[in-house]
Amino acid sequence: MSPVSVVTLWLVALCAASEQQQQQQQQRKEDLRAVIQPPYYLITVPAESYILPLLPYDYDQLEPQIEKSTVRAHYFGHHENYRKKMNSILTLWRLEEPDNSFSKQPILNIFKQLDEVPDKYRLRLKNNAGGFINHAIYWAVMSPNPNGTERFPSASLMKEIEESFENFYQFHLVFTNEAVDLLGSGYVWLVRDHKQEPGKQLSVVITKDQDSPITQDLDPLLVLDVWEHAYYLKHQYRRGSYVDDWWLLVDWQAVDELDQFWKRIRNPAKEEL
Amino acid sequence: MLGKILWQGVTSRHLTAIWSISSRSKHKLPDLPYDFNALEPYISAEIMKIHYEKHHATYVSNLNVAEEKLGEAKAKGDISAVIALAPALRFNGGGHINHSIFWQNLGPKSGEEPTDDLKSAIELDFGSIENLKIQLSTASIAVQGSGWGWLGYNRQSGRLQIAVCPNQDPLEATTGLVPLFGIDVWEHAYYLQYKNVRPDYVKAIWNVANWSDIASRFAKAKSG
Repeated sequence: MSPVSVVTLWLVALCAASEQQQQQQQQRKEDLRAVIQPPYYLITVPAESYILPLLPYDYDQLEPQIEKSTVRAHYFGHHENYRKKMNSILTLWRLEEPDNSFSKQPILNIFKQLDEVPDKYRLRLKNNAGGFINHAIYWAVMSPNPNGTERFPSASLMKEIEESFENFYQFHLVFTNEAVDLLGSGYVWLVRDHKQEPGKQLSVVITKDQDSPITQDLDPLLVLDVWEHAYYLKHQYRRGSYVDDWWLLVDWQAVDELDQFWKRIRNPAKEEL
Repeated sequence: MLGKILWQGVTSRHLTAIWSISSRSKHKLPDLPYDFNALEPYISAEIMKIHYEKHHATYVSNLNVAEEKLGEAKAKGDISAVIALAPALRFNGGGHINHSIFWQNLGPKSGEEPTDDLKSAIELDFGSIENLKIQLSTASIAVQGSGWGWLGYNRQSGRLQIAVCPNQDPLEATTGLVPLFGIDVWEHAYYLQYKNVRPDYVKAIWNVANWSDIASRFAKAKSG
């Protein structure tokens, strides 16, 4: 065989091998997400005490975009703190009002009806349940992207984005600018407003601190945490470069799943017995 | 802000703004009264350098830009534009005011404690210096999101008071209290060293509180 054909054959074999490897990695990722519930699932379940939801990836798997030390500090430090405080407020409230069945509902239901929470607990519960839920969604819509491949929404979501924002680039720009310009601590969201007509339901909103669009009856599809703790260890003051990195981690399939999650909650399928 | 200008491409509008800023020499970073490592081990040199050279500097440059735009809006009689600049002025102006006080409020560990008038005032309004530390620390740790904890002087009552402000809202313009000692609890003030453990940072900062600066602010507030 000529050297050229040997090299060609070798290159073809290499491509096939790396494609197989990619398929295997994809399969592994899919297996994990198939086996564990998304991190936000547990907010629909009543609990005496909420656990930290499992992350759909290992602490170092969001590298190189988000390094292990940030994931660990963010998850075991901040997310955990909100969880602990939320749980102790729920416990105190339930002890004080043992006959209040509303206090025993899933945290999502309580969070959507904060007016029903006693004054003395309402603000603290809003902040800490907000922190607990916001972070669960933040983790859920990211997935490893070690090769840094550009990712795009599914066809149906892309169509909706184009209807609301002209094109994907415009959406990307608006979202990024909101993230970079946000003063202080907060989040940037892509939300669906189910009260609007189809094709006009998507918008980009910001919330400060641990406020959530859920309390405004909006369904979050995508969220970016721009609190300094989300990026300071790696990027320090350069929030813009954190945002650039984060876009590579957005998992649009997870975004679609989250979209379906809210739709199911708003329109529970009637079980045929 | 500057990064964003560069990213979008410098236009003639930006060049005009930059020229006007330099030709009218607006707000500047104040000199730091000590080296970046002077507050070690309580606040690391790395944090001091970034906090001063990047964060405070950005407030200064953004304040200058906002004031430039304010001038233009006023010249045109554009009330709407003036109002729209309020958040940027508050944020960056507050950031400049707050950090300028902060660098003076801090100093290398001296072991000094408050004396004379300030000591008496603290004991009157808080019971003891220890109690002041506990109350201000608690308030600062409890700040939701970004903000500052302050020891302030109430001119109406002649008393010392603790307050917290969100984001970069400046104490005096927001509450009327004269700022004496501020604790920056924005995560950038401590994250590289303390990560999420804000209480450790707040506990440590008392080691580098510059009581003579705080006392002189108190004296000035009382007499003013």
